[in-house]
Amino acid sequence: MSDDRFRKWVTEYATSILRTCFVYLGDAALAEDAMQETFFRAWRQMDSFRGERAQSEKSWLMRIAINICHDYQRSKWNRNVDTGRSLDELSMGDSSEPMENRLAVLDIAALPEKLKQVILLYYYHDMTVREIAKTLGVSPSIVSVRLKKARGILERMWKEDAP
Amino acid sequence: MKLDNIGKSIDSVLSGMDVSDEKIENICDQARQQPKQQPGYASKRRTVLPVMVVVLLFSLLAAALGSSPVNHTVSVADGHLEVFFEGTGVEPSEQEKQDGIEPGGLAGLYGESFAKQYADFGTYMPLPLWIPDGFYIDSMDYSESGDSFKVLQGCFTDGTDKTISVRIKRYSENADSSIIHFMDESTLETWHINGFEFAYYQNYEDHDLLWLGDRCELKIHGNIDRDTMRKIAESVAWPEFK
Repeated sequence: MSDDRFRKWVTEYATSILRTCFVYLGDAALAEDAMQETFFRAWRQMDSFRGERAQSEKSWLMRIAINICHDYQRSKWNRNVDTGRSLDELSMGDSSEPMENRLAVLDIAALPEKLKQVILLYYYHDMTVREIAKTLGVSPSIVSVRLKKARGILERMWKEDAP
Repeated sequence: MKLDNIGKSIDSVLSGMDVSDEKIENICDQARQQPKQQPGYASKRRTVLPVMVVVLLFSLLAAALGSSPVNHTVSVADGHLEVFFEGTGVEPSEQEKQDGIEPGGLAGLYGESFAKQYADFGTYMPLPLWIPDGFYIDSMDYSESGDSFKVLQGCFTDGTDKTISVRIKRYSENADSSIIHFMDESTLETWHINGFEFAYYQNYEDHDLLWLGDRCELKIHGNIDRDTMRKIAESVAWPEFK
């Protein structure tokens, strides 16, 4: 039973978690490691989730993924890895993709970590402010404030990017 | 670019970044080889020095509170601090209720919804009675987790990006696991205020003050200055705990 449930989680969320990790970390190899580690940790803690957590499985998985990305981000910083190139290469790889979309992803990736978290969860994972608050362990008000701040920064960036 | 299109842009730009069926099988196979943790299990694999300091401080806190019936154990899991409460809670006496905060009087500061939920909380909990001028209640949130715990939170704002939140949390007798605090990148101190001990930690612009009692907690969070945090803590009324 738990095998089926776990497989359903991986099938359903692996790709979106991988892409989230990539935008978060800016490095394809690290993103893949972070995605896998998310599911390994979810497997180990599955029984805790069933027993205690009053949140959706998606929120729970995203919480794990974000904690892992946060850890990776710190160790990456310590190792002085240059993440910009990897992100640029991958996002610019497909020339048929409109420049506007590529720049949008790069701009999101360039946001400060806390702002990037809320933007990814709200706009990419379609989570509500309340769900994000539970996922990040902060109040809904703080999520709203961070969203407002992130939107302001992105809108300014996109104005500057506009021809 | 419109904000609502962010999701589509990410999927479109990263369309080549998929997890194949083969990869899914691989993840499932590798996961199955890993042992599952029992509920409440706390891995120490990622334990770091700052968190160990926190554990020590919570132990000292339990000892320092003395007559206050704190009975909990602390452990570390994946960079989080987990506190497990045990024992029986102490409900306030009628006299204590009379000496305590008048729930109706809270409405002016915390708003009517918060005050009403506080009155229904069943246990009189400590609460700050001073919030800096210019801040007003922005939202309140009340939730229950089955028969495990209930939590009431009020969020204040001054209209800018400054926020202050006050959270009280109460665990039922059935609760075996409770709070999880994100501790890394934090500095930690112990603050003694009006005879009560708070754990204080700061993470960049965010400040947190935490007091733990018997199956209950008060947490004050704000991206405000440290002195203001102290003033808020000094204003806390302790109806049940004196």
